[in-house]
Parts: sequence; structure tokens; C-alpha cells
Amino acid sequence: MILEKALQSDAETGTTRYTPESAHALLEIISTYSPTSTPKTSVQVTETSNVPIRLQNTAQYAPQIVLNSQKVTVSDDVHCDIILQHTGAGDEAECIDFQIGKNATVNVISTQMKDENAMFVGKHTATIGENSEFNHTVISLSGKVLRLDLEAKFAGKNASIVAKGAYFAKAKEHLEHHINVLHNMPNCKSDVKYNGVAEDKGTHIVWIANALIEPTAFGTNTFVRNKNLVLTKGAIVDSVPNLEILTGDIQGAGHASSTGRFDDEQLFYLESRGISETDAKKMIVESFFEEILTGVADKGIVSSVREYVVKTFEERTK
Amino acid sequence: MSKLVIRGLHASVLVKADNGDEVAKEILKGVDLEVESGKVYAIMGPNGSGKSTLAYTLAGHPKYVVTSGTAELDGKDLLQMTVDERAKSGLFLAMQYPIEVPGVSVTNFLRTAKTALDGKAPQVREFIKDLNSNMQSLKMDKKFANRSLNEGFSGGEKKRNEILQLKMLQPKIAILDETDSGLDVDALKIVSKGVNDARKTTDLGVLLITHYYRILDYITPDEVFVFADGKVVDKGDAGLAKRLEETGYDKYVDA
Ligand SMILES: Nc1ncnc2c1ncn2[C@@H]1O[C@H](COP(=O)(O)OP(=O)(O)OP(=O)(O)O)[C@@H](O)[C@H]1O
Ligand SMILES: [Mg+2]
Repeated sequence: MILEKALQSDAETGTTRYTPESAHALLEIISTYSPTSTPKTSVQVTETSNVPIRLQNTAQYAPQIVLNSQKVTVSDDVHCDIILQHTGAGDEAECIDFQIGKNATVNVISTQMKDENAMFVGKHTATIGENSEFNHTVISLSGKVLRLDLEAKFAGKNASIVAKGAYFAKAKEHLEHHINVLHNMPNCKSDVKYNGVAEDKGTHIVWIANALIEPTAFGTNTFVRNKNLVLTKGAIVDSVPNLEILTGDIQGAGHASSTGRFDDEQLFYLESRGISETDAKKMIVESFFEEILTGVADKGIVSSVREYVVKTFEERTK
Repeated sequence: MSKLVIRGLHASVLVKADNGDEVAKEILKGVDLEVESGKVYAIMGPNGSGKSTLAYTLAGHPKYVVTSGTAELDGKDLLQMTVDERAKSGLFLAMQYPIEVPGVSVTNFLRTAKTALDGKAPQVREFIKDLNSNMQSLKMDKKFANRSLNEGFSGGEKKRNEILQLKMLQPKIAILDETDSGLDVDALKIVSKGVNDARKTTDLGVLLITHYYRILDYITPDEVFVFADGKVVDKGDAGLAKRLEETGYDKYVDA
């Protein structure tokens, strides 16, 4: 177990575990330790159920390190919800591979609410079958270093992926998300939408998304967008949406990225209806998360995210 | 009984000069106006004459700076108030271009505004009932309640949504900035009825900015003002509005 060794020794020496570089290095290691070939556990979802599947994976105590390598196979015609909640003070490295059959609907939600000194690195890969829908939602709220990569491709035509995410970075946290969608099949759709809020000097957000449309992927429809609200000076945001189109026959393709402070026109509009400036700002901060939370079925997750966002924003305006 | 009194109002807009500095450009050049409860005042005038600037200045948009003059609502100095305080004292502005706020639902927005205006949260059941019946009378599909504020709304839907807010929030004085522009004939009737209903139930006073006579067939003005180059230059009755539509503003604008 290369990864376990690497991490353990890392934990023992207490070296540069908490830097983005080490997160990156970890991810490199994870990549070689692919769940496709050597999954630690394997989950087969063969029937539709309205009870969500929880792939629990929490390192609650430092200096504990939890490694998670799983292969999740979803059969044809199955609808399922998968929940991943990452909490606690220990570090986590996670690698999950989703293999989705035909005509299936798979909703994944992954929340990262680690303790302030804890690190999380993860890589989710997905292969989406014909006519299937893959909805992947990421909520990253706290942790010293959080990095989550999503790599998706298709195994048949008329399939779609909706990759959504929201993050709140503060107090020198490093939050990094990479999304790669490979359009390798005809008539597939991808909709990538991440919203984030950043505050405090030294906080770092990295968001990189790539949609590659191969020559075979005619009829593709893709949209990639990222929106960041910067609450204080000195927070760093690197937002890079990329589109590479190798076929002339697509339905639509677009990308957008914006990073800025509160929109004066939006604040004025809300305030002109009697809402105070503070409340208007709070509403805008919440709106960045609400846009992503629509469609998240788990009420507990939705309310805990809302609570965290409001609390974090209110603490700062005190 | 409420009264908005505007005297000698001068205001400038902050514009970016070529060198990047913000410079003040005077738009309002001495506006005198009175708006009373229960009455309708139409304002007509050429593009760029400052009608929206007047509306924004009264509502307290940060881009506009008052350089002299007064604006009082029921004896209270509007110009000293923050934007939300102006709303709390009973002023409402239906915007020419309503702003999109993704992630804030129409319902959440209205509930938050209502709570702020009343100082307490509305009874949930009452509020929903009120919202449903107002949406119904404005022929707005129920789905709009859960949609993000103005996001992806058509031009006409945005205008209806402004009137929905007017009806829900029950101000004393409303400024309607070209609420009729972009409305089809049926929507014009529906929106006009909404405004007239608000007048009946809450004795609303209306300052109605428009380019077209046709809305005045549905919302009868007590007075019509002609606005040009940042001030009121003429006034009359509905007949004046009709004549303006034929003759234009030539005689009010310097060649
Ligand atoms: N934010 C701004 N930045 C720059 N110029 C502005 C701004 N707001 C208003 N102006 C200028 O002030 C003048 C008056 O604009 P205003 O929008 O008030 O006109 P209006 O009478 O409402 O016109 P319309 O009938 O076209 O709506 C215009 O010349 C406009 O370009
Ligand atoms: Mg205007």
C-alpha cells in the first residue's frame, strides 16, 4: 500500500503535510493507486432505493489518516443517491471510481467540513453509461487544505453530467477543485457550475475546469462556469475555465468565470425593498450556496450547510 | 395620507472619465414635484432627460449624489436616509430594468423584505395566501415563487414581478419607471389593474414614468408633467400626454 506508507511516514515526521504542494503530491500518489485496479472496497448498486447510500469515510482524530479507495458500480436503470461527508480532525485521502450503467441516475453529494487543521484530498472518477445522468455536488466549507478532483467521461450516447459545487474559503485555507469532463460520445451534456466565497488575507481558491470535446462527440452541449465573491482584500482566487472543441458539430458550448466583490446593483435592489445592507449582503452570500443546494435531496446536509454559511458570515460582520 | 415633496433637487451621477477618475456629471437640474396619496402623476420626457435618475436618486442609489435641494416624505428628510430606511418610510421604486439575483427565490426575497418593513416575520400561512392570490391576479404562474429573483424572466415577467412586490409590500408612494415598456396589451391591462388595486386598498400615490399614452387609458393621471433636461418643464392633464405623443418634445428641447 504505497499511499498508506507515504501518508504514515508523512504523519510521523509531521513534514509539509499542510501545504497545497503536499496535497498535490498526495493526489499524484493516489492516482497511481487507482481504484479501478485495486479498490479497497467495492460497492455494487443493483436496485433503486430511496434510502441514500453513505460511503462513510471520516478521520475524526488527528494525527489519524484515513484512506479510502472504492469502486462503485451502478447497474442499468438504477436510481440512487450517494452521500459522502468528510468531517473531523484527521487527514483523509480518497479515491472513488463510479461506473454507471445505462439509463441510470446517480446523485452524489460530497461535503467537506473538516476541522481547521485537517487536510482532505480526493479524486472522483466517473464513467457514465448511455442515457444516464450523473449529478455530482461538492460542498467544501472548512479544512486547512481541501482538494477534490472530478474526472468524468461517457460510455455511451445521450448521457449527462451536472457537476456543481460551492465553497467558502477563509483564514488562509487552501481550497482547490479540478473538474475534467471528456466528451467522447455523441449527444452528451455537461453542466459545470461552481460558486464560491472567499475572505481573509492569504486564503487561496483554485478552480480549474476543462471540457474537452473530441471529434466523435457531435451534438455535445457543455457549459462551464465559476463565480467567486471576494469579501475581503487579500484573498487569492485562481479561476480557470477551459474549453477545447475538436468537432464542428456541437449544440452548444460556453464558459464563464467571474470574481469580484458585492454587486452594487444587487445590493441596491434588495435594500430598496427595505432589507438592511447587512441582511442584503448575507442574502447574497447565501445565494451563492442556494444556487448549488437546489436539487440536493438530503435535508440534513442542506440545513447544516446553510447554518455554517450564515454563522461564518455573521461572525465576520460582528 | 402621505405626501412626497421634492424641491429644487439637483443631482449628479458619478461617471468614469477617460483617465479612470470618477467625475460628477449633473443630471437633475432643479426638480420640483409633489406626490400625494391616492393620486397618479405621469412623467413623460425624452430619452436621457433624467427620469430614471430622479427615481434612483429618490430611492438612494449610491451612484447618484444630491448636490442641492430637498426631498421629504411626510415631513421626514429622505435624503438623509439609507436605502432601506427610505423603503421603510413608505417609498417604492419599480425599476425600469429590474436586477437579477440568482440564488434568492422570489418567496424568500419577499418574506425577508416584508419582515424588514414590518419589524416582524409575517404569519407563514397568511403570507403564502397573500402571495398566491397576488400572483394569481397578476397571472403569474405559481412556479415563479420558487424561481430565482428575475433570473431568466422575460422583460414582461420582470415588470409583473415588480408589481407583485408593490402589492405585497404595500408602500405609501410608488415610482413606476417605465413599468409599461415591453408589455403586451394583455399584460398592460393586468399590470394596470394591479396598480389600481393597490391604489384602492392602500391609497397608494403613484409617480408614473412612461413614454406612451396607452397606459394612461388604464391608470388615469391626475396630472401630467413634462420632464426635459433634468427638470419639470410643463404640466397639464391627460390631454397633454396625448398631444405629446403626436408632437414629440421638440418645443421643450433646445435645438
Ligand atoms: N450610472 C450612470 N453612468 C453614466 N451616465 C449616466 C448614469 N446614469 C445616468 N446617466 C446619464 O444621465 C442621463 C439621464 O439618464 P436617465 O436614465 O435618467 O434618463 P431617462 O430620462 O430615464 O431616459 P430613458 O427615457 O431613456 O429611460 C443620460 O445622459 C445618462 O447617460
Ligand atoms: Mg429611464
